[in-house]
Amino acid sequence: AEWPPPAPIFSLPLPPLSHTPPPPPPPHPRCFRFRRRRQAAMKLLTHNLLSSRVRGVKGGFPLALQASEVKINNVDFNQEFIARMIPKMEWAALVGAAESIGHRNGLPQELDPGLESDTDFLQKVHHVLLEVEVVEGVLKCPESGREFPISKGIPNMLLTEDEV
Amino acid sequence: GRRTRAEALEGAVAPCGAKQRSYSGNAELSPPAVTWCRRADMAATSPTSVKLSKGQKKMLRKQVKAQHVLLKHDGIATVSGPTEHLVIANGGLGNGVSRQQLLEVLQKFGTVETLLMSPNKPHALVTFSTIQEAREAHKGLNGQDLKTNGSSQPITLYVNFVEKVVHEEIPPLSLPPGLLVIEEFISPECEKRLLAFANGSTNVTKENVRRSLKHRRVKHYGYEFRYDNNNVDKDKPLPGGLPEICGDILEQSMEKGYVKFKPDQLTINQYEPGQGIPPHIDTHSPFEDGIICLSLGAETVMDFKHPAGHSVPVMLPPRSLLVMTGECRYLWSHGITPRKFDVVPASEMPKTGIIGADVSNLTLNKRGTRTSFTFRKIRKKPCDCAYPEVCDSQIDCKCTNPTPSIPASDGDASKLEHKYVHDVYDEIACHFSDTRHTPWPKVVEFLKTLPDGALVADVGCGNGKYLGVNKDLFMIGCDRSKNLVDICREKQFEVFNCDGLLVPLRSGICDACISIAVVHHFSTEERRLSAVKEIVRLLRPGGKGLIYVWAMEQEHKKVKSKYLAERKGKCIQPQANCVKVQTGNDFSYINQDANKMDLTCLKQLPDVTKDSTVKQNNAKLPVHTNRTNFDSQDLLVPWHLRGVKSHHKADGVSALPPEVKEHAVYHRFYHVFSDGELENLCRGISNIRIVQSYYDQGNWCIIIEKC
Repeated sequence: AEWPPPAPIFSLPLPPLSHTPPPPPPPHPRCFRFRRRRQAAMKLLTHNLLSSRVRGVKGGFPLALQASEVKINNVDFNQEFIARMIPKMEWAALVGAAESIGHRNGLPQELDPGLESDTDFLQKVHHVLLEVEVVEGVLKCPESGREFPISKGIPNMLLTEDEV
Repeated sequence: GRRTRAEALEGAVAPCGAKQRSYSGNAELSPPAVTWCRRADMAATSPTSVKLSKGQKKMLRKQVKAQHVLLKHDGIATVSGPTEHLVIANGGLGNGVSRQQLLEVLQKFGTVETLLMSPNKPHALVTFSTIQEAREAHKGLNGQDLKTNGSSQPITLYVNFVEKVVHEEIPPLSLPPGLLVIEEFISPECEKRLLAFANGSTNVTKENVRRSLKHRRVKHYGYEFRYDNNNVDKDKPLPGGLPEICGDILEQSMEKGYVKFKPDQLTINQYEPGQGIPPHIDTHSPFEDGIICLSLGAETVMDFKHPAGHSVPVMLPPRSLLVMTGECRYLWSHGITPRKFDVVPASEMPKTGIIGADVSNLTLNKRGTRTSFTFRKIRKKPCDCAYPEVCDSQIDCKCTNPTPSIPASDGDASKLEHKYVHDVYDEIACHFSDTRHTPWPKVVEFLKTLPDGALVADVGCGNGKYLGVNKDLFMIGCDRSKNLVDICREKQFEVFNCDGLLVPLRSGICDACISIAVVHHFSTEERRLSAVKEIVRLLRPGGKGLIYVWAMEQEHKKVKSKYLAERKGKCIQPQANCVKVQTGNDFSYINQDANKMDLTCLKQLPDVTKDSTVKQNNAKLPVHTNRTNFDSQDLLVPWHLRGVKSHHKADGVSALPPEVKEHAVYHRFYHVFSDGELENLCRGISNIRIVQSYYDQGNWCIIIEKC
């Protein structure tokens, strides 16, 4: 099915160059320069790399994903980057995670090697990997059931003393 | 319609005594007492009809700026319509304007019903009895200058209308229990004699000392109080004992029952205007309960603070005796703010001597030179007071707060790191991040030589300094500190929270991995090895890792590292917060900050003695002096957090109570690596090879490759 184009919010700002001075102080109260802040959140690419380290857990991957707040971000498409990233991904886990938050974007269940050079396909993967972001949610360890919260886009994977 | 200049000048009121500044560029006009406010009003209503000169525009800008500042900082909303209430920006106690002075100026325009001046604010709120009076005041004062006794620069007032002036009734403060101030304890003649004694007894270099206005002067009798360890050498009394001239005072104090034991130690302090003493509790173990302090020469305000945070300012008039016993002596801290003016009640001083917070009754009082004679009785046995949390004798005995030592077990190591790494970084996150903005060149080089599209993990990413260096990489950062990770997230980096010994990433997934200034925070060799093994686990075969750790050797190949080289001045140079101590004929400067055992850092501060012996087991961790060479490999390095205002709203976790934030010293655990140690550590890992091992700006560095 056709996927809708991403809602144009704000594109990823360029990160600062090295050796530049620290960021400028907030604007003078007199000048009302409206500063838009894009709040970043956890990408599905990152989710595909996260695993549980609870004591006794053998695999701890993939972490089941639940999201109460998702946002879509506009990121420049880099075909080569996506093509290189796909082999690193656990494809089933990626599709599963995207599906669970309702952003599967038409990704196939199986990864067909022939699709590697298919630009349309790569764009779909790009969208899922880099443009879908989880702001609030929960990651659940498949073996222990332990839940790791995602809050303000930050997964908290810290374990307590007895879980270590 | 367009107003002529003449009309604009009509009805202008010349404020008496205030210097008039000529704003308009028109020389032919006599210096006008221009009604800039009127023009401002007009500008608001008919923006197109008035052509303002440069000076007028500037004045208008400043008035508008004042409005914004008031709104932003104090929530004071200005309105354009006339009311009886005005806010006078730049006319506050906080910027040196006294109540009397402002009142005098205001009363020329009418009856002042209320005048509120908050102690630290640079503005005042005034209510006139009629709107007309307020309008006159607005007209007459806006943009006008006021001369203050404090500075040679006149102050320009900016006036705006406000909706209303709210005067909150603040519940009265009570004196700290155990505090007494006895006024006129000695006669003026006695005061003169004592002052002559104090001034006469300081030695030849008095003239030089007087000129160095940064620190107060100190002299001890009976026993020397040492500022490096906040204690007294009880076995080394000073010859001569207490001066005879003090005999009467001591007799009187004992007779009246202010002290139980006859004091045998005297410290004379002399404070010039602008000098003070940081808040502290007089160390428990060297002195008995019952400390008396005689004030001479001038009055001052002393601030008493309870550990819970509330503060009570107390006036100490000259010739008064301050008595501190019980809770006041053992639990409350006392200090004198280094400033030239104190905020005091405008009307008569209340009997208790507490300076109330009634903003309708405060003004400024200029400080003079105050000399204090503090008498104390040396205590032989350890202290057994009822306040163990702030007691130096009892704090060592408590198991819950032992002096830290090199951990023997993994559990101990974890606890040590919690206290001296994790909690500290969460506390200092913002300040820390502000000081970590320049990525190190060789790390940047490493990142830039990686292929495009590489997946790179930064284990212990801190404030994300390296996460944006090469935008052709996909970098993921992780750190144990929630607050630091928050800061990274604000910068749009991909991050998560985790422990470096259990990184929750799949094995073999990273093309590269960096860990800069992280591994040295682990307190056992085992844990350090584990941390490196985690990094290796994350790498794919052929993947490269870069690790940086602090080196014990801060001087390499005869070149000092920046850490050493940037040391500000030498020991003998006076620095802020140094106290000049005279014992006999010697002077020395002791930096009070780094070692002061005040309330704020009691929970963190271990035994401050610089013990450089490092045995393998259960050796105490010494506290390092910043920007000096390392004496041992395992140590605590201070971080001085100075009430930094952060723009970052850290609603992250904080282990310490909220009041412990203004100025505190935090200690972080480090194991600094010796030459070859990092290499050896890596050699203990089988599936890697060492690509390069080098020294960079006080750090030992290694590049490893997974086989």
